[in-house]
Amino acid sequence: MLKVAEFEIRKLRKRYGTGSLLLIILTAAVSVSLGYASVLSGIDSDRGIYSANIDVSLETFETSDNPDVVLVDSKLFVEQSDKSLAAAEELLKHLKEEHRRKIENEFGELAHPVKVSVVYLDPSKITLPEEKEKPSETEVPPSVGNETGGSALKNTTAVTTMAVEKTITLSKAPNTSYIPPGDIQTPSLVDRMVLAFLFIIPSYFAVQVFSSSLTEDKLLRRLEVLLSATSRSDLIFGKLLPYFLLSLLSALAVSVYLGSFLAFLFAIPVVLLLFSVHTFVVMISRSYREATFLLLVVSLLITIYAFIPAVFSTAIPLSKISPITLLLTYIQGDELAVIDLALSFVHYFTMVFMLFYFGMKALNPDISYGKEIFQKLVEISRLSVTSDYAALIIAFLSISFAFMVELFAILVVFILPQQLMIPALLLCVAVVEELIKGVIVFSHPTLKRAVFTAVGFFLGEKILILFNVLKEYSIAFLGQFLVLPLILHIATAVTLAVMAKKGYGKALGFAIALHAVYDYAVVMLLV
Amino acid sequence: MFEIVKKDLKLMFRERTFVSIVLLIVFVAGISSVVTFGLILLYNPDYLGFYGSSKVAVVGECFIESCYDERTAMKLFKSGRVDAVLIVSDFNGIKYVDVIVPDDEIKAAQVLSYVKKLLTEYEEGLRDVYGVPNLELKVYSGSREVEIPSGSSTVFKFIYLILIPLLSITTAVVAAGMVIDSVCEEIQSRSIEVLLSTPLTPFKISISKITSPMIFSSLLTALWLLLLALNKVDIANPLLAFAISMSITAFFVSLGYLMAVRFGDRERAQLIFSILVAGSLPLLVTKYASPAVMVGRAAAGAEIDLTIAAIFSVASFALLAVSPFIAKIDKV
Repeated sequence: MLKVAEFEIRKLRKRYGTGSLLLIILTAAVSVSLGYASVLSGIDSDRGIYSANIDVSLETFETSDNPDVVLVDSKLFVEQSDKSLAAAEELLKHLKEEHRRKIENEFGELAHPVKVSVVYLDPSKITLPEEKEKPSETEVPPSVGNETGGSALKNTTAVTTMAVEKTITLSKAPNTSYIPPGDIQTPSLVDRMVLAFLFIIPSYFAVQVFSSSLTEDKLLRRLEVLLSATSRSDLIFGKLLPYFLLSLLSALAVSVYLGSFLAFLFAIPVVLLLFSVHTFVVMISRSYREATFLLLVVSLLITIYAFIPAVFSTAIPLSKISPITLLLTYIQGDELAVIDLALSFVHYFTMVFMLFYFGMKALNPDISYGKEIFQKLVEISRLSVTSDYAALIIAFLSISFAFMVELFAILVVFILPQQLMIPALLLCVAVVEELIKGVIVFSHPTLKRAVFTAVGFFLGEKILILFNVLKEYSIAFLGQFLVLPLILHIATAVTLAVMAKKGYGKALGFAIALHAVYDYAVVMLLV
Repeated sequence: MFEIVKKDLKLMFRERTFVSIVLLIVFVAGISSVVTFGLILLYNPDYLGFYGSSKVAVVGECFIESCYDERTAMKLFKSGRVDAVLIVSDFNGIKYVDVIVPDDEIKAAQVLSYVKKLLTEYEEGLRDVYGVPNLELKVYSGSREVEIPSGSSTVFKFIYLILIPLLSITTAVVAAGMVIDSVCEEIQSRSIEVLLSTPLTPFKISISKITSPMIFSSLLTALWLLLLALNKVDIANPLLAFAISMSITAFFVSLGYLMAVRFGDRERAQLIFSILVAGSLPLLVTKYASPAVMVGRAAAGAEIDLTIAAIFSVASFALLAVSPFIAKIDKV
């Protein structure tokens, strides 16, 4: 493996010799300068995007004869268009600010008769004193009348002697910490997401160079030559090693910069998933063009899959399946549950393992240079699923992919009208699960293979239910039943095996229809 | 020459590239509401605006119905039966309020939106009492009084000033990626030598190499404009948006072609092109004079600097036309 890695580094050096390296450094410097210039010069893309009938002292507004909003006396007239409503909101905000300045000058402190200070506390960490310790209000009168304006919380907590573990820092500067209610800022999550991207972005470049190099070696048939001297795993991992180390180093550098030394570990599953999926895609692609587009699609999907859950990190428990959510929690200094860590890492590493495994099996001229994608998948399955027990194990592990695709399905059906959501989700589930089972069953379409595949898939589903991963969506996955899903999986897998002779398309269509109708009937009748 | 264009386009369709890109765009358009919601939530959690769903307990000066003593209020907060505790104290007529909210960001954003509205109303009531004027401004649509949905401006700017410019840039990047692949493939597999031995001139080969991505991206641009319109995003000036978007593609395709011919290998050309695009992306989506922003502004029906747009378009297509002379495909 190290020999191949050495070869890859030599190849890299040759390609990116002093001249190329200088050019890349120069390009990177130009890019950084361009980015920095945009930061320095600020944002002005919204200049004059709205229009009004009067002169508004706002950069975003211009006067027009056909304005988006019309202001007459104390009435603001809008049209029922998105632009007009957006302009009205922006103008209202501006007018409120102008009014505020005016009353502040005229009435001073009284312009804001309410002042607010926000304290963030974890409710579970609040310890209340025993009932008897609570002094009555007559015993200790509230002492809010100090000259600085006082901190209500400071005084009231003193009265109740509440033991709050978290340090309350906001009452340190009472003069400045109290603001008008209109100025309350809700916490922004952007900074955390930028941090998460810092860990992964350099890996995108490393993965891109890796997949380009692999595609070139594959298309120039160098891989076939190398295969005669080394094993498939040594070949793939040897080629991958320099790029993976580069990604790891960049993530480590970000960890050190943030003073959160182990944070880079959370980036590893995502980075490895990118490498494994790129390896697989390169192996099944016939040309640069095909590889480029498929890589673009899968990279985007993985980015969405890893990062979108982090947006909803504290709102949806399912979001902990993404290592990025856990990375952000770790950086924040919050505790991580071992079960969440295990589930997330096992889920990602299972996909990584399978993609590398299938990628290596696909390192075969028959698969590389011909046939449709589905045919290629069946061919890879034929090479990988060598026994009925292997079918059971692969079906069991493939639940990770089913889970990923079904999560995307949930995202997509989320936008449909409510009455269509459940049928659409059930149909998506049927398509995904039957496609996966189909690819495994078609490797050797016998009844025994079908039953083993169905049982493997069923066990995988039950594991997810056991760990409560699919708790929220168990209706769609019929999670609360034990025997019904097993009957369903066996019935559809047997259908796939029996109908395989009549063509994969027909077999899949029939199994999907059966699965969807069955799910819909069970959901409607029993749930 | 058209044979090469036809071959490139045919290859594209046969290799399912077109299908994958269409699927990608449909997918992005399909989940755009989720992505938009998520991104706006990141940028401006106020947008959540679940005003009705929060419960608060007030301690001290009681200005709403849910008033408690401190211990009960904190107990309710600890047990999750209230989402926030407001401890109100009076000092010379000014009400000082300590707002205790959960440290969970999403929950805090949701509760604070409600608390902000509640306390603003309280403030307005007190101003009336103290004789401080409030801003009296009502919004009408025709003769009907209406309320402006919170976050309208953020959503509008996100769609027209971020999403549409990004779609335009992505289309151009994909087209440039295609020209890099297509040229480098001919060079690296040496099939360029075979092509050069045919009656086709090097200029015709180069032009055909840049024509297919241009045709492809014009179809793609039309498709995403149509998809946006189907998603009820008003496209005020589709022709202008299309024309400027195509000039961005022309510029990127020229750059891609020049790099592909100069470097002769896909890896270096793609890497340097990617670094340059990544660096210029912030400028492309933040500046008034950026062509990508102009695509969004044209779609929004906002004013654009037509002189800059015209100069950029002419320059881009001129560069596209002369790039086969700058980097000659037969001199590789």
